[in-house]
Amino acid sequence: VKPRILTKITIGVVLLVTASAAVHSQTVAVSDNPVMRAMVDELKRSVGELQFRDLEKPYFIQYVILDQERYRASATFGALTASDVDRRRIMQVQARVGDYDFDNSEFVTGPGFQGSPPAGIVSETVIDNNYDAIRHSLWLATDAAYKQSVEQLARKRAFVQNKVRTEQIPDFSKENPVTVIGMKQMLDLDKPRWEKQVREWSAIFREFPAIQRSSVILEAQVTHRYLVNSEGTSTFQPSMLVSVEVEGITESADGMRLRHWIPFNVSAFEQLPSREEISKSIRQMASDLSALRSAPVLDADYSGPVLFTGQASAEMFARVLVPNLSGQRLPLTDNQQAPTNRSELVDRLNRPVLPRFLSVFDDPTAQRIGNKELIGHYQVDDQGVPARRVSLIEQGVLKNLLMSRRPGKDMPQSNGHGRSGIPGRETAQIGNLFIQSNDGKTYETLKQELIKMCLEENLKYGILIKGLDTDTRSPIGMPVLTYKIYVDDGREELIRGAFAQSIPIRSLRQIEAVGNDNFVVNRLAGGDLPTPTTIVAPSVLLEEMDLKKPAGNQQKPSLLTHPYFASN
Amino acid sequence: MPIDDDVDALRSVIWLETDQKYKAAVERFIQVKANRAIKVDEEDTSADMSRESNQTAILPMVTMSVDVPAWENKLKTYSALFKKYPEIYEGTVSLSSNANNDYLVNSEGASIQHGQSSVRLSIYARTKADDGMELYRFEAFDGYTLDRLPSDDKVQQTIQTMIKDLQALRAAPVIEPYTGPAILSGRASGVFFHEIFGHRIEGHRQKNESEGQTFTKKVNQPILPDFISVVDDPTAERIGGIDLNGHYAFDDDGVPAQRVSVVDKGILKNFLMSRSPVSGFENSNGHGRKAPGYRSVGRQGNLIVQATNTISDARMRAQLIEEAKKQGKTFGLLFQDISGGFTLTTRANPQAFEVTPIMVYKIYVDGRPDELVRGVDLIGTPLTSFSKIVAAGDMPEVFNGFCGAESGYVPVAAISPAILTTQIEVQKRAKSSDRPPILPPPGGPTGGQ
Repeated sequence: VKPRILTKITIGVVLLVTASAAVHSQTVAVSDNPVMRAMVDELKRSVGELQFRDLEKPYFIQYVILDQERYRASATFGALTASDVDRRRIMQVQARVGDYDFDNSEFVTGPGFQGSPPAGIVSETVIDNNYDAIRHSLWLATDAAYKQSVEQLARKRAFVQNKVRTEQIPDFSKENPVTVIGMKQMLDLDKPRWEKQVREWSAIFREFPAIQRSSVILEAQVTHRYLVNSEGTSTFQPSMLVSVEVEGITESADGMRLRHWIPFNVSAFEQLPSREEISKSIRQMASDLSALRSAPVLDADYSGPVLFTGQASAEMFARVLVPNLSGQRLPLTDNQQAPTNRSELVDRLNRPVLPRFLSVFDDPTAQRIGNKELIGHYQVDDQGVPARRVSLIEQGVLKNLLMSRRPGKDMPQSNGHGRSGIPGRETAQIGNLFIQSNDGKTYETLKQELIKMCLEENLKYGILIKGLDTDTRSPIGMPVLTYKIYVDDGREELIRGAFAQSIPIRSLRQIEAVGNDNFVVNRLAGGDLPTPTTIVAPSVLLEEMDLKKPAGNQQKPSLLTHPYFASN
Repeated sequence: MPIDDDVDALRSVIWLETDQKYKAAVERFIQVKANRAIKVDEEDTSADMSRESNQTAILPMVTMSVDVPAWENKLKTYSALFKKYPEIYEGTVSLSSNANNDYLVNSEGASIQHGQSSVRLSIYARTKADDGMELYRFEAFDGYTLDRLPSDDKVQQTIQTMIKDLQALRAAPVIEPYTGPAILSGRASGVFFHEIFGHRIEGHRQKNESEGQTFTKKVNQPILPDFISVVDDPTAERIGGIDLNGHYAFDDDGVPAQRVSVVDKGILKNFLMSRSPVSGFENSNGHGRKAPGYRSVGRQGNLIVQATNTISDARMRAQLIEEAKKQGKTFGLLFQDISGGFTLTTRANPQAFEVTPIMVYKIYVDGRPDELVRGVDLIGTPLTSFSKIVAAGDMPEVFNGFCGAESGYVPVAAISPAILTTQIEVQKRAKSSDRPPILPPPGGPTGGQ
């Protein structure tokens, strides 16, 4: 089944976006908007006048203001732990000095420096629509950003002076100016209703004596991103996110800590599954977690075929494939120990990286599949470049990489994937990633193939993973729902304690088969304001991966029983 | 913790926390016993925890009610006062209002509920001198309730004064390192005593062998001039009409707050005690304090410096000039206002303190007008500094603030009259080398809408 994808192709200079029907919209003439006016006016003044004595003027200035209104309600065991609305505006000013070929950006220096290179000045600004106050804060930030850039450029020039440079790739791409003005959205919030709702969902855990700790967190946020730059680009982008995260923690009789977690990430309240459906998922999750307590432990290290289904498959692709699809070139550095998270696929263009039956593309312009909204959707990226569908892997062959405005070798332009989430350094990242196959198989077929592979390897069982949590301490996510599939009768047995080892990117060429299903995962991972992405992936049967049995000592289980379930 | 009054949910959280704290304590206890076996005996072998009488108290709980739109307007109006002054780069006014309700029960039978509200209106403004030095003024008004905050007029006057001070500071010369006589205003002296003295009489520091223990062995000996006494009195609610930040009814161990006479006519009498005893001081005196999530230790509440044989401001000024002349100096210093300070109390570091003055004047011996100077920090070591205090003023002033130490941030007050000292030392303050902004602020002659 091919997903139906609605796309909007960005043509021309002015583009009016229709907000999704489920969201309350309000037309805003941007020329009247004091935030935008303040940005445009101060930008004009800075471009015209900002220069320190005989030093270079900035060749590029960009202002971003992210206006965010956020509601967070959380509950445990049927009682509220928080219910707060907050509003903030984060401002980012970039003033690049030098020219497109060589500027102050993407240079890290100093021993022990482990962070990413600075990307201008980021700070909070006023939340009132006060023209004067916004301009005032932009003025100070522009001044600081310019001085910082002048210093960085001097250091970077001194550094390259004595180095032989093998690659002469520009630092920043020239892009066409665009004006993309979206509609303002409102956070239409019924606080008492959601307080009651999170209490009700979290009270479900009162039915599960085996679970020690639980939480239900609802977060709803509307963000409006304003961007203007000295090339003439001006954008106003609304986005809305609603998420419900449910977590349960317990321990088995031998003291092993067990955690289960389910997220619902959608782009509007109306997109959430119904109250009853979420309650049902929570009950399912709580009974899975309760079952895990008495499930047997993975008794020996495992090396062999693994079947990933549903969310686990999407999470595995997110960890193993996604970082390697970014064409982001590394910063220049004088630090030998600098972390290198460069894609391993950069030098493999036009060569096979996946089996022939798989193709991969990223399409941030896609808004929904069926009636499911994709949260990785955007009109322009965080650098003001229109979103574009990029075909990455065609029939197993790598064709392209995701690009921000930092050019790579033979890839001089952005393809609309420069993203940062919270204003900061933009890097090439996915929006909506589609992993597609022309040869999908049913679950039963996949299971039979897994068994066949086990027989060839003389294994008594193979492994099925249905759920991975997004824990970053584990290289591919921590397996939550892991099963042994026995070769003799095909029965599935829930196990616990399997720790997934990392999967090298080359292992993905040994994907044996994929499912005819298409699991849509709206994913929020990492940080205070995670970048929303969507991964659409089928189940996959991997020829080989390693799982470790649990090591080390566990803490003794709790000494008293949960007071609610105790007799006194 | 749940914010709903739901007994089952609250118990479910308390249960797990108890389990974890108990397991951690068991582990720690084994380590402590092993340590004791292999290390040399401690000098102070007093008990680990004091026995206290059970307290049962149900005091009124507090709630918070802020007219948010009205306060938003007030703050906007206040902060707009900075708009007329392009040389003030940033001016912010903020209000915080808190209602804290504490519940404490323990296995000895204590059961205490008490509530306390607090509000703080703070004003901050900054600019830069042409040489790049960051200059700022900070003023805060503290009170138990919103109606204790000053009137609009008073706040506006304060802002105008801050602006004038900053304008004057931009033009003020930088002072060179100096040692000589000085007057510390009441507020400056309060912070000086808080850092240099208050932190060194916190009970647990007398026992911990990595601490400097400046005063541990000085009980019943003179440590200050005989005209000075010091008490710490958390039961005091206000002085001179000002609400005191360090007021509380029960400390964080559930022990009632007590007025403690620490120094009587120059003689050290007592320490600020939590439930961790030290040799000769077996009980808490209601000074076990902490921020949520920390373990309480002996901390200051309202540190009050009192003096007999006080003199007027004019007399003190005359004495300063006399002393400067005697030392062959052309000027003495007046520390008018101060923003805060810090001190080092452990043995691994020099026993030193530093306070950060904002408004400092040279008082010339030849009768020239006083001259505002900038760019200095007041530094020194405790024992030397105490011996140089020669006179105290007749008007106590209050410094309300927040003090950070190993048990987190707690609200405190320091109250003192002005003091005259024959010798202080100032050092140059670290400064930024960034120049002032290149363009004038928007809306000015070249900006404009």
